Amino acid sequence: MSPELPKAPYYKALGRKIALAIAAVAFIPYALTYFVFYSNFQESIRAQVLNSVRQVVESHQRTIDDFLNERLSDLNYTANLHTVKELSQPTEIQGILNSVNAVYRVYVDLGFLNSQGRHLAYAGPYGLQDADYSEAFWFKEVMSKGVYVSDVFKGVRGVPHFIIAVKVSRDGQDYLLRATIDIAQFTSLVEGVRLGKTGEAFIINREGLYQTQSRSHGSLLSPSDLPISEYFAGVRVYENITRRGRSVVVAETWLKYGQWLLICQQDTEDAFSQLAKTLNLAIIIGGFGLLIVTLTTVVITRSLVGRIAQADREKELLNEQIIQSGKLSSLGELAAGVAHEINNPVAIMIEEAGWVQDLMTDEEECYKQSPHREEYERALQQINTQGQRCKEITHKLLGFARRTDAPVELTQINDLVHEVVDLIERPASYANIRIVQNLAPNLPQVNASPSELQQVIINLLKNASDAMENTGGTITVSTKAAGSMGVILAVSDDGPGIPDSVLPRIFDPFFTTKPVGKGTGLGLSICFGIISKLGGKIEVASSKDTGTTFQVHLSAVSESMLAAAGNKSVPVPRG
Amino acid sequence: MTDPQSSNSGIRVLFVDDELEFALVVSKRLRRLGFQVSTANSGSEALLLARANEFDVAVLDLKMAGMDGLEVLRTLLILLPQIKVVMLTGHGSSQIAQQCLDEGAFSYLNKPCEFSKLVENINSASCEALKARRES
Repeated sequence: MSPELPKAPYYKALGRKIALAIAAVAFIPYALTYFVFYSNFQESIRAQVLNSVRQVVESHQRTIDDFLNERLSDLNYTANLHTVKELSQPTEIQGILNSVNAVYRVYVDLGFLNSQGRHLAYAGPYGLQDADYSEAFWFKEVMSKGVYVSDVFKGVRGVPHFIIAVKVSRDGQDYLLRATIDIAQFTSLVEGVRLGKTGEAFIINREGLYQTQSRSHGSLLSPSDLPISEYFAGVRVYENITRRGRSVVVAETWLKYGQWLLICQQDTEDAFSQLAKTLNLAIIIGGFGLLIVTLTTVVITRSLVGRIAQADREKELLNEQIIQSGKLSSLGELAAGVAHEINNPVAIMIEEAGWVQDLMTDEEECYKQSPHREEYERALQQINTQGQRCKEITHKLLGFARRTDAPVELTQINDLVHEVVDLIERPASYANIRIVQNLAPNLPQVNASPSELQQVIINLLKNASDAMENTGGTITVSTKAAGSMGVILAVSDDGPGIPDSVLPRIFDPFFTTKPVGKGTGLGLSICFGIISKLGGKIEVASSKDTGTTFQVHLSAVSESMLAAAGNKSVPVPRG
Repeated sequence: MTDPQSSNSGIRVLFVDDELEFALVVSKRLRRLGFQVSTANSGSEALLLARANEFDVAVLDLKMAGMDGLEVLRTLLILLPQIKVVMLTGHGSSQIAQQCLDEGAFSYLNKPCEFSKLVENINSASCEALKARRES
């Protein structure tokens, strides 16, 4: 029988309960913390991403408004700085164009027009001196409002551009200073915006035409498919699904007094890629934590259940020992009672036989002739002899019983060996097993419970005789002093020996090679327990077909300890 | 012991045992050897006898119904200070034996005990008793 637990399902259930408890205690705060942090973190990163998009739009809104305002103030400044006469000179205009382009090359051309929409002077590469703008929309706008910034349009030349113009009033006459803005210079302000991989900025006008190139949406002046919202102040940030099914983050604001809409748009996936990365990391860390918690739970549960099982086994073993010693103790009491009760009738029988012998001695003459005289004497002698035998048996029983509960005391191992061998010798002889005692005289005493030591000797002898049950053989029980402080008790048999595979386990509780029901597997375990408790050790040496020897080492009681304890032996006349 | 009667005559033995048959057969055997034996089957009976008669040796069972052997021992030793008591019991243990000897018993025997050993003990006890009487 292997020392497997008889209650495996119980331990499985126990393990499950413990694991669940540990897991619950560990998981719940872990999960709560994790999800609270996770969601808070997600919220804040989200807000941060949206905010950064908003900021990009805000700063570009300022840049673009500044750019347009600067251009207008350039024109106003130029108009105020020069007289009409000067502005009407083509060479003068060319000079002005050169000087305003000195810093940035933003002006393509510059023209000074009269109120009929005719150029008084023009500087620029397009040769527009004779162009007539009197019917142009922008011309009318400037004349009525004084300032004008056009949308991007292709105009007379078919090249996308936009113009700005200011009205100049001198001496009751209205003039107009007009400049074409380099579209490239302007769009670079917007198209230069990069946000992640997909983020871009572009401008559409109220009609939904692209005022700047859009990388992913459309070319300049092509119609946009984006919805045009009503004018609003400030920046609006929202998430949207485009017509092509992409999820995007959009920030938009109105420019140029509600004429242009600056849109900054980025794919949601792209915008939140950092967040996604971080969250992925969080999930990995979370999963890792989960794994550790699970592993720890498993490990702790296993070790706990293992320990509980071990403790249960030990408890069971202890119970077994208690039951065993209880059994021995009650058996001992019973035996003692029986022994005492038997002593009286046996004494009477012996005395009566003695009395008959007495009478026969006295009346010898009468029996001399009897042919059965010797038989009478023999029979009476037998009664005496058998009575004495009964007495010996009861004495042994009493000796056994008296010690079942005895505490630790000075014990002579040789005496115990005698007693145990007396008990076992006869049943062993039925199996052709001879028991040889090879006991050292003057063996030091040991401090031990005699009943426990007796149990050890009984177990060792019984094991030895069980091993040779079928073959017969010789068991040698020997004692000797080991040095000045030790006693060695050895029980050797010449049986089949213990196989190597079994040898390391023989002291394990519940380990037995005997058939089910024949052995508890506790004998050697109990021996081991008893000897260990006494501070001794028990060793085994076995070889195949040669036999097995168990050696018990115990520390002896020294002379000085004996003297201190006082001589306890009682001078009882032998009866 | 070819002629035991002469040496034993005059030794007065009080035999106390609640086993009636045991007391009977042992007293018969002792009388055969010349001892003057009185038997008592209980402690109280023994004390009654001791009050009325002189005894050299008492053989006393330890476990008896009614009065305990140890109690009888103590009282006997008070009643008859010179008496020597041989304890003879089937319920013995070394502790009780020691206790009896401490209480003043002369010796302690376990039942069943060889008759010759009992006689030996009674004889040496009576010698002691005689010695004690002479001294006093």
